[in-house]
Amino acid sequence: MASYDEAVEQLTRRLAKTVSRRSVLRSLGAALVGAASLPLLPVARGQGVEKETGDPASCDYWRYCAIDGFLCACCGGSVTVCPPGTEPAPITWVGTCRNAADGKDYIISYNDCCGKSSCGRCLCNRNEGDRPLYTAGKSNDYNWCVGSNADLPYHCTVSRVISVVSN
Amino acid sequence: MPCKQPRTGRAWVGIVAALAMSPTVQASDARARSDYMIHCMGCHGETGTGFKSQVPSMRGTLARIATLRDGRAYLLRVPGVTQSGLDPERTAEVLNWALREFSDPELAGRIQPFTASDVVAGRSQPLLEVTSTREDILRHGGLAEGSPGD
Repeated sequence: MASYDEAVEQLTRRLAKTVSRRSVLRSLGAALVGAASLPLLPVARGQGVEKETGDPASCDYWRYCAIDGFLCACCGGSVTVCPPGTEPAPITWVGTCRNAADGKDYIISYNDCCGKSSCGRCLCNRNEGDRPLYTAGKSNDYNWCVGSNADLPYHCTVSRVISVVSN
Repeated sequence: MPCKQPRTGRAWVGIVAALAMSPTVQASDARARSDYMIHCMGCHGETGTGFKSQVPSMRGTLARIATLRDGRAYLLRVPGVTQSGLDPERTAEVLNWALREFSDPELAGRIQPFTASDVVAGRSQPLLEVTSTREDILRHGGLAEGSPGD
C-alpha cells in the first residue's frame, strides 16, 4: 500500500512540475469546443443517400418526383420534418424517384403533415407513378390526414427516403 | 436405426448449400423488402405495425393467423394481396419475407411458404368483409385481436 501511495505521489509531483494549469485548461477547452462543433461538420444526413444536389424548397428537387402537395420545407418544417404544431399521418403515399447525383432509384415516403390549415406555399404537383382515384393505394390525390386522423386538417407534405430500390 | 451418413458429412452439405444459396436468398430478400416498402408500407408501416383501428398489425399476428383454420386462405384474399399490382411470384415473395420479418422465427419456419399459385387462387376470391372475417378467424383460433405493435 505504501509503495502505491509513493508511486501516485511521484506521478502527481512530476505532473505538477511539467504541466501548467493553463495548459490543462487550454486542452480541456479545445476538447469541449471540438466535440461541440463535430455535429456541425458537413456530412450527408439523408437516410441512405450519399450524395444529392438541389434545393429542398424547390419543386424540382429530386425527391419530389411523385409528390402532390405543399412542401414542408417552405412551411416552417424541412424536407423530412413536419412544421411545429403538425404531426405526420401514419398512412402515406409511397413512390420511387431517381437521384441524378448517383443514378440510383430510391423509395420515398410522402407523409402528409396534419394539424393546421393548408400551408399554401410551394405547391408541388409532379405525380410520377400516380394512378386514378379508383386505385386507392396507387393514387396520391387522397388527403391522408383525413384517412388516418379524422379531426386534423392537411398542412403540407414531407418526403422521407426509405432505401434504394432493389430489383 | 444406424446413421448412414456421418454427422460431419451432413454438416458440410448444409454449409455448402447455405454458401451456394445465400447470395440468391439475400437478393430475393432485398427485392421483397423493397416491394414491401413500395406496395405495402404506405398503410402497414415500415415495421408492419399497421395503424390502430384502420390497418391491422402484421407483427406477431401474421404467422399465427397462417397457422389457423382458414387463416392461410384469408391472408391470400386480403386487399393488399389481391390489389397490390405485383405479379403473383413477387407477391408470394413479399408474403414469405413478411412472415420471416414480422413473426417469431421458429413459428415462421413451420409455415409452408406461399407460392405464386397460392396467390393466383387467393386473387380469384377477393375478400370484401375483411375485418369481420379476420375477427372470426382469430376468435375460432382462440386468439384475441392483437394491438398495433403486437
